[in-house]
Amino acid sequence: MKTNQKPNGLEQAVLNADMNLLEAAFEQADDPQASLLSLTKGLDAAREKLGDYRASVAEFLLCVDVMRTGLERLKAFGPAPEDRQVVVIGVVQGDVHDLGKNIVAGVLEAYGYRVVDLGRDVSPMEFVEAVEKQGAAVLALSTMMSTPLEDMARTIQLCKNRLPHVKVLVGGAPLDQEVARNMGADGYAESAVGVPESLKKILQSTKTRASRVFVDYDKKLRVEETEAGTNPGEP
Amino acid sequence: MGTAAIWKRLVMGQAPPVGDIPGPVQDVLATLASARGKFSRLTSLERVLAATRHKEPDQVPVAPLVNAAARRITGVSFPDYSQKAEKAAEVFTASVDFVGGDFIVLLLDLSVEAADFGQEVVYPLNSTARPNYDNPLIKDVDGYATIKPVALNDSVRMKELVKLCQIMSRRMGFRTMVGGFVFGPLGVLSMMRGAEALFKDCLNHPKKVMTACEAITETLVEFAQAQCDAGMPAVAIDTLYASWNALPKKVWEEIEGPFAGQIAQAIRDKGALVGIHNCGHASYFDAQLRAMDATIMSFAHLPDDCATPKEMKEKYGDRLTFVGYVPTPLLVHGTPQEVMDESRRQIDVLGKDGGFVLAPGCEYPPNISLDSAFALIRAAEK
Repeated sequence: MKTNQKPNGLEQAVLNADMNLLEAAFEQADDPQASLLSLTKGLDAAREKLGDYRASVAEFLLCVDVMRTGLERLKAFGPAPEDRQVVVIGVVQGDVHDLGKNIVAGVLEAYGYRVVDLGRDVSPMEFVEAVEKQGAAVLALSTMMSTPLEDMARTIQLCKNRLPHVKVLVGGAPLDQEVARNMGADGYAESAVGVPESLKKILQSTKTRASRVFVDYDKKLRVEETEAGTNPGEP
Repeated sequence: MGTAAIWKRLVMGQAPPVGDIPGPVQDVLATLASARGKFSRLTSLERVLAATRHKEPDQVPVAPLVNAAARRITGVSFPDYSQKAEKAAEVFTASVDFVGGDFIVLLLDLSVEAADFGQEVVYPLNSTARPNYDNPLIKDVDGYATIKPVALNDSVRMKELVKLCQIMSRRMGFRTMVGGFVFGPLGVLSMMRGAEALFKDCLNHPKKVMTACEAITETLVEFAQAQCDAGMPAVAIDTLYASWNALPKKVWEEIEGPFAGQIAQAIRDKGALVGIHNCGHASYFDAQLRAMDATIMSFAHLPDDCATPKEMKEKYGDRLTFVGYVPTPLLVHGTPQEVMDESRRQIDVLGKDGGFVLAPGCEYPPNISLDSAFALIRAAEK
């Protein structure tokens, strides 16, 4: 009974964004794996509530905070940082709205990725250099404005031309699935609700949306859809 | 305000404070306009009046919300547009002359009020003004207590915006309906604290947030009334955080609702119409109406309690004029034909019996071509 109740406390702590309950539940927790599972279940439930409009973004932010605190406690038991898949994330050049990016970064961390957050107003070259340096599998780009879309496209172009094995995920108010596709991104995340699934899906796919992206003379993006090779660094 | 104010404005060739005209008189005027619209082309004011009184005009009015995007027509820089009333007036005038439309809203950017409370604002050359988010004025929860009301006379950007209202009211006359704009107290706070921190503070320290809201509201009441005095027949209050993207409904009603209500009442006291702008997802129409009793709702997404635009029209159509809701991604990436198709779909559902102004869900994106704006105008023409 004891072991069944402990994870439940952690699950509830995340779902209800209750730091006190989290501390109390950890007092009795003795199985790190079960604890991690419970925390994740709690965040799954919180995402579901957010997706069903039963919880607001503000409430979800507090759930993510509790989840992060919980993960910090379990840090010693989880995979080493170097064993986790790396996601480089940031808001593209020309934009400083980072709320959506912060939520997505928090969710991805909670689901076991090592997230390298470059912050706001990040240039295409900074993104690509960080991806290369960190050996990232995914580049996640965000913008809430239409102004930086050209820079987002340039970032994707640069990344695809230089690091074709890296998957690019985009999200933000001026985007939708089709726009993301036309820009050459591998995936589109409408909100934090579905981002773990979107990421998993693009990582499982051996295809990249494009290995080469061009900007034509009329400034329209032309995407050559090809099946790229796997990451040279991967077996 | 009253009859004298109405006549004074009419004599000056400006739109009168619509709210001061008795409802039955407005209905008669709107009915006459609607009838005339069946045979001839209406003026923008007639068209908007008919639509807001829920009569069918000659065509659905359009508010393309081409604000900063019209800068390029005359070559005004972003910083000048944000900070100089005369330059901003050039831009808004160009938007009417070049693009057209029946209704303009004098929204410059969302940092106007915050700048006057002391928030550091940056004025990029290639984008609208914004706070320096690396240097928020409110750095922790105790910072809310330091926010004090700012007198309009001591302000800089708010005063310029009032000046813009005066210029545009005189310049547009009866030609096009011009509306004012204020960011709600939580919006102003988000510019000085950052949205993420503000959301958490609203849940964890609501009283502290409300202390600052009270001080800000005192200023916003004066600001909104000054816009009315400057000739605005309608003023929109932006209560963005009354939506799923932000706060729970109950929390919004407790924290911002009463203050938004005070601002709305101050606008009504001046005889102007109260509008709401909320481009959030699943916004709380019901809660916002309870708080502000507005007659105009500018929106980008369906409210939380409606699954379809038809349901929204049935539920709120008798008391609200909808302003919206062509999606931003479509304006940015769609062809003019796609924009027209979507606009006509919305007109079919929401335009019947008036009560609808075709518009983007939010300000027209400042750096895209004006093709989509022309498509909006064309879509409304019968």
